[in-house]
Amino acid sequence: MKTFEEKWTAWLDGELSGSELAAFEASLPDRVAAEAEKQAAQKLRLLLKRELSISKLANEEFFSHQLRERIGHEGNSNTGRESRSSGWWTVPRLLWSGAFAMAVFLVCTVWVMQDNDFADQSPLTTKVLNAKLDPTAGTDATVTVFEDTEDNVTVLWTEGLKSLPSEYAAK
Amino acid sequence: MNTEATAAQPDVPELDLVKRCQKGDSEAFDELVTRYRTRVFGMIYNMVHNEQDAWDLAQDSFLKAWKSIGRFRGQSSFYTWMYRIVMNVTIDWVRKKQIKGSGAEFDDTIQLREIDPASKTVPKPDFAPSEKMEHQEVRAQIDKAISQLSPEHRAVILMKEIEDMQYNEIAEALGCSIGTVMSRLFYARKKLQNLLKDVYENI
Amino acid sequence: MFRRLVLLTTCFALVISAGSTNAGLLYDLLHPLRSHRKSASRHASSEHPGEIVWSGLVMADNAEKPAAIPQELAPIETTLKELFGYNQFEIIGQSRTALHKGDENWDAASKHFKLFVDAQGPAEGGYAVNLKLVQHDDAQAPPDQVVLETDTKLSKRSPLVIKGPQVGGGQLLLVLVVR
Repeated sequence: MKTFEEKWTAWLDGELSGSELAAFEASLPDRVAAEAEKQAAQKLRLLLKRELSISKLANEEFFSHQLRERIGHEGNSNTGRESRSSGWWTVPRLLWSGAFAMAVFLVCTVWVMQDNDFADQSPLTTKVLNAKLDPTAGTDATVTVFEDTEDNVTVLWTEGLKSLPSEYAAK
Repeated sequence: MNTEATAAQPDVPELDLVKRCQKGDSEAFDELVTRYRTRVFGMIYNMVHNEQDAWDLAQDSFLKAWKSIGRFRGQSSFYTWMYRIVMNVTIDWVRKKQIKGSGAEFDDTIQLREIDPASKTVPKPDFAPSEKMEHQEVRAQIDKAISQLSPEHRAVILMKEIEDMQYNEIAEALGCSIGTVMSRLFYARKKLQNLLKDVYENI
Repeated sequence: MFRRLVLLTTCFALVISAGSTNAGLLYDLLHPLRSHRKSASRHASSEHPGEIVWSGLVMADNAEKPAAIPQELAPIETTLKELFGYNQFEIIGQSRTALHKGDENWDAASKHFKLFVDAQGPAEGGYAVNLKLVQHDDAQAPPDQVVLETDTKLSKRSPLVIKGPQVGGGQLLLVLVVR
C-alpha cells in the first residue's frame, strides 16, 4: 500500500492514472493548493535541468587517456583476466567446495571404520578347539569337526555314543 | 595497454561491448567510457561541486567498473549498473569528507573565479557579462541548496530531475526500494522548493 | 588472501578425504584378519548388551506329519535336514542369555540332559565358550555324567551344532546360535 509521500511523488511526476489518480485527487484537502505546488515542482525541475545540465567534461579525450594509463599501470587487463578466469571460484563456491569435501571425508571415515559391515562380511566360522567324550558313554566314540557352507554351520559330529531309550527325549 | 585514442564505435550494441570487456577487450571498455564519461562526470560534479574531485571520482568509478566488469550479469542496463558504482563511490566520498571536515559545504563560487586557463575547466555557455554573473549566482544558490541535502537525497533528485531516470532504475542504482526512492524524492523536492522558491519563481 | 586461504583449506580437506578412503581400503585389503580381529574385538566389547546366545537341546526324528521347524532353527533348517536326515525337530530344552560382559554362565536343560555353557570372554568375532553335555539319570550312580565337553570359539555368524547320542528313534542335537 503506497504511502501519501509515494502517491504525491507519483502524482507530481504524472505516474498516477485511472482510478488511482481519481482517488488521490479526490483525497486532496485543497486541490488548488496542490496544483500550485505541482506547478512549483515543475518550475524547480526546469531550473535544475537548465542549470545543472551545463556541467560538461572538458578535455574528454584527456580523461579517457588518463583512465587508460591508470588501467594499464595497474595491470588491470591481467588482473581483470585473472579475476575473470578465477571468477567461477567465488568465495561462496570455495566455501561450499570445502564443506562438500569435509562431508565426503566424514562419510568415508564412518564407512571405513564401520564395524557392523566387517563383522557381517566376516568369513569367520565357529572353531572347535578341542572335544572330549566320556569313555563310559562309548568305548569307540569319535569326534569329527566340519563346516557346512550351506548355512555356515560348524558341526561337531560324534560317532559311537551309547544309544539311549526314547524316554530320554522327554522335555 | 594501448593508451592511444581509439576509433569511436557508436553503432556497437552496449551488451556486445560489455561482453568484449569481460573477455579483456580494453578497446571495448574505452568505447563505453566515451559514451558515458560526460554524464558520469556531470552527475558527480553536481553531487560534490568540485571539478577536480569530480574528475578523480569519475576516474575511480570507471576504474572500479573495469575491475568488476566480470560481475555484470546483464540483468539491468550497463548505465544503471555503472551508476550504482558511481553512487557508491561518490556517496562514500561525500560521507568521508563530511566526517573529516567541519561539515561546511565547499564554496564552489570561489573556485570558478580562480580557474587556471591551462587546467581542466568546465566550458561555460556564451553568456553576456551580466547574464554570466546572474547565472553564477543562480548556480551558487542551487549548489548551496543541494549541498544541504544528504548524499542519498542529492542522488535521487539529480537522477530524477537531471538524468530523467525511472524510479526502478534509481532504486537499482542506489540499492534501495522504489518506495524509498519516492519517499526521498518527496522530501528532497519539498526542501529544495523551500530553499529555491525565490529562484525558480523568477524564471 | 582470504580466497587463497579458503582454496588451500578446500584442497587440504579433499586430500585428507581421499587419503583416508584409500588408506582404509588398502589397509583392509592387506590385513583382512587383523582388521576383522580388531573389528571383532571392538564389536564384542562394545556390543554385549545387544547379543543373545540361544542354546537349545533339540530332538530330531522322522515323523509322518512333521511339525513345523521351530523358529529358532529355521535359519539352519537345510543343514539340519540334509546332514542328519530327519524331518522333524523339537526343542526339549533351551536358554536365551543376553551377554553383557561375555563371561556369563548358563544352561539349557531337559529332563535328562543339561547343556552347560561357560562363556569365557570375547574372541575373534565371537566368544570363547566351554560346553558340557551332562546326562542325568536318577537310576544311575553317579546320577550325572558328562557325556561331552568341548572348547570352542563361537562365531557370531556361524551356529554350532553338536551331534549327541541316539535317543530312541531320533537324535539329540545341541545347537548354539549367537543372535
